[in-house]
Amino acid sequence: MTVYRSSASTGVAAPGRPQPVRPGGLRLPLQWVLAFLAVVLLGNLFLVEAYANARFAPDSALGATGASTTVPAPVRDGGPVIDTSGERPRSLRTPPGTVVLTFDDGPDPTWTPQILEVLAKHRVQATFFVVGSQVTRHPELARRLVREGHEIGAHTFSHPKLAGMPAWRQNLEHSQTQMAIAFAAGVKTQLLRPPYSSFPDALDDAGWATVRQAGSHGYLTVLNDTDSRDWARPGVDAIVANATPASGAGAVVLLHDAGGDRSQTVAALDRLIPALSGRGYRFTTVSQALGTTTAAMNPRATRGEQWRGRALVWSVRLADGTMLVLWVLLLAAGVLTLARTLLLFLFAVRHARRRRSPTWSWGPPVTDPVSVVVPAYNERATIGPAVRSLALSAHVGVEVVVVDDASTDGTADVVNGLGLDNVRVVRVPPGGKAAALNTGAALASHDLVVMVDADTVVETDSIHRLVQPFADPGVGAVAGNVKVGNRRGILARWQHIEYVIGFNLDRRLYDTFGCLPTIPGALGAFRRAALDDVGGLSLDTIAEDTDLTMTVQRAGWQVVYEESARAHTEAPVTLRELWRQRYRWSYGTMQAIWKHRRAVVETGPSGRFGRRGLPFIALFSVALPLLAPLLDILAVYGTFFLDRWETLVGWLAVMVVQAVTAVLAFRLDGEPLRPLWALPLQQFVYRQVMYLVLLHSALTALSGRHLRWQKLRRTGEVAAAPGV
Amino acid sequence: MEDAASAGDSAATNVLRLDEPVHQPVFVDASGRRHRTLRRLALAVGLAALLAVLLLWLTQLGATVRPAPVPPCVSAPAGQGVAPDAGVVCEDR
Repeated sequence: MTVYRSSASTGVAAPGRPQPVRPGGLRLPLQWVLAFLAVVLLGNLFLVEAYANARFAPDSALGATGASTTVPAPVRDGGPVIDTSGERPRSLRTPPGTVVLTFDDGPDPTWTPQILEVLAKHRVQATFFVVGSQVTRHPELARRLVREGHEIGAHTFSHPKLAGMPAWRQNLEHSQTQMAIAFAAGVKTQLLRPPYSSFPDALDDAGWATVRQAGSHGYLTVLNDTDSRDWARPGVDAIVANATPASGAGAVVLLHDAGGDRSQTVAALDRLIPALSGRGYRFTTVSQALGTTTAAMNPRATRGEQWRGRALVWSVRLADGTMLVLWVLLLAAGVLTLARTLLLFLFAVRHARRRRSPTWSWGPPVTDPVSVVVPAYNERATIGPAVRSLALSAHVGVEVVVVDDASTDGTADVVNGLGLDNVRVVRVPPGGKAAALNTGAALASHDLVVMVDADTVVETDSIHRLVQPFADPGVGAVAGNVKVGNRRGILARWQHIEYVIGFNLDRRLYDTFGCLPTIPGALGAFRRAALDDVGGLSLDTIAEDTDLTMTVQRAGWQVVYEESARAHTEAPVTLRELWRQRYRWSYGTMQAIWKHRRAVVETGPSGRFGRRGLPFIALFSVALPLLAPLLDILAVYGTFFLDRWETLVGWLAVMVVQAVTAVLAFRLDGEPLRPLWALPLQQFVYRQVMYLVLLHSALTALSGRHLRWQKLRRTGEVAAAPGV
Repeated sequence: MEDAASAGDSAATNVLRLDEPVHQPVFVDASGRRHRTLRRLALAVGLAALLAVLLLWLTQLGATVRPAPVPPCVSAPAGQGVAPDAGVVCEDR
């Protein structure tokens, strides 16, 4: 496809465009500022999200099994509360007849309130070892715990296995939990229970090291000596039995108020408390059991600590919110993709079947003479074969008008050198592609005007087939089937796949709904009356083909797709040229949609196109591709922070949908399936380039900058390609 | 347009080139005001966001939040809180 250079005559006033560089001013290109921002913000949000979302197994599911040669015997054989802050470790246990109920892993919005109800009903105070990340999600519950007189202890921020973790990470876990509690409840805590801990005699060397580490920061480590094993949900009776201490002895009972269905815990608690009370037990918090007060264990936090907690809570909220939005958008993209695939299967197949049926015809054969307009700017390398293929078309009465838009490479001489009688060369002053096409159409002698790019080679019968739909007097324009002529190299192969799927299959769908967005500049036919109706091509957009197609349809003409009229165009062979071409296309499409936006509310054929075609085009050629980056972003996130297998399966599912669509498209177009091996590779460079182009053009549109683009560098490969 | 005439077979064709009216392509804001506004907005939001990220890291990685510096001496009820036989003593500080 030809990309034209911009020229001075496109009407953009030069003043005000190149902004003067302010002395000492910082000049960062907008897109880099935004890209940098997006990466930094998303990176940080993902880190926060991953940290605050660490998955964990319930306590005791992982038992300590290492050697315990360094654990002092008094600690191993001692009580569940360990103080290592002094010179010698102290081990403390609850007095006989005293039960300390402890709840781990909360707060949880479902179960913590229910447990609080039961405790309140029996007027019992307990100790809650909260997980910091849970506190950031439900600070009101942590506040309620403290307000109702319960004691709060730390159970780390992300519930990791502390043993083996570097000291700074352990300290960070505890520190951030303190911040979260400080923000939520306005207090700090002296109490710590390491995740996956159990009885003192189960402490191994690594576990003992974490206890000492916490002790050096002033924590009392609270293990337990009576495990209700409620995490395994063994039934209410079993929990009550497990939680009942040996006769008369004191106990620190381990229960859970989060981490899954805790209805058994709630029910068991409601029976356990009266049962133990009846046997003379009293219930206290850890501090009271040790002869001190809750106020001493939960001293007030400073304002600074509360502010640090606020920063933490809000960043977790922001990360949660962002993630939710991303997932919802991904879901929307998935639904759109599926809808598109289903529509394609339903309507494209039907379209192909109808066209292939022996009874199909547009009407009586069209044998009217045809004028072919070929705009050319420095097309020396490709124009010869292109014009020759057009001039030698099988259709009777083909006239070729080459409009040389002030080429400097002798394009006109090449055409004149072909010595073909039905070819005319017109030299025009520099004016751009749209102006060249208008001139060509004005000079064309016939009423059927075909427009072909100068880098595009047509098949012998293409022109004839292309004009057949004009048998229907309502048809104003016809789109041809453009294929990539140069299929060597991975980039060209990817484009070949894209042309067959993205353009040709989609075009069948659009054709069915009567809302073709674009008659490709590479091969399209127009009735002169339709061109006259709309005043020719306009210079409003840089995708003059899309703009013209929409204008013609709004004027009430039918625009159809004739897939049997094939043309072979030269696709860009370098990434840089591909970028420019697609930049022009996507930006131009956005321009055209915006230009014709009023059609949505208009009446008549314009309104029909506006309400049927425009949303379709905006949805599938702008919105859906703009959502595509989500797939990559969340795939990366999933690979690092979520279940790797689930991520892979999700990603593969997308691939399969694409592959199935691709096979369908290739079959409908009668293409050999071999080039499809490059489809999986397309996911890694091509897709990303395509959406970056789209983002870039959206940004350009938003900022109102003028788009400069340049002509493709031609290699003349299509002409040399075999079989064309 | 003498080039058209020089093509030979169309000597009778006269093409008048009407200068295209000066108009603005869709989206283009020649004054550059929209671009400047957007840039300023992006920079402002960007700086604010970077500051927020920096603050977050500073608040989280700053001085560790610890329990009260001197742990309260836990004096468990006589003979029970501590296990004297194990040699562990609560020293009142």
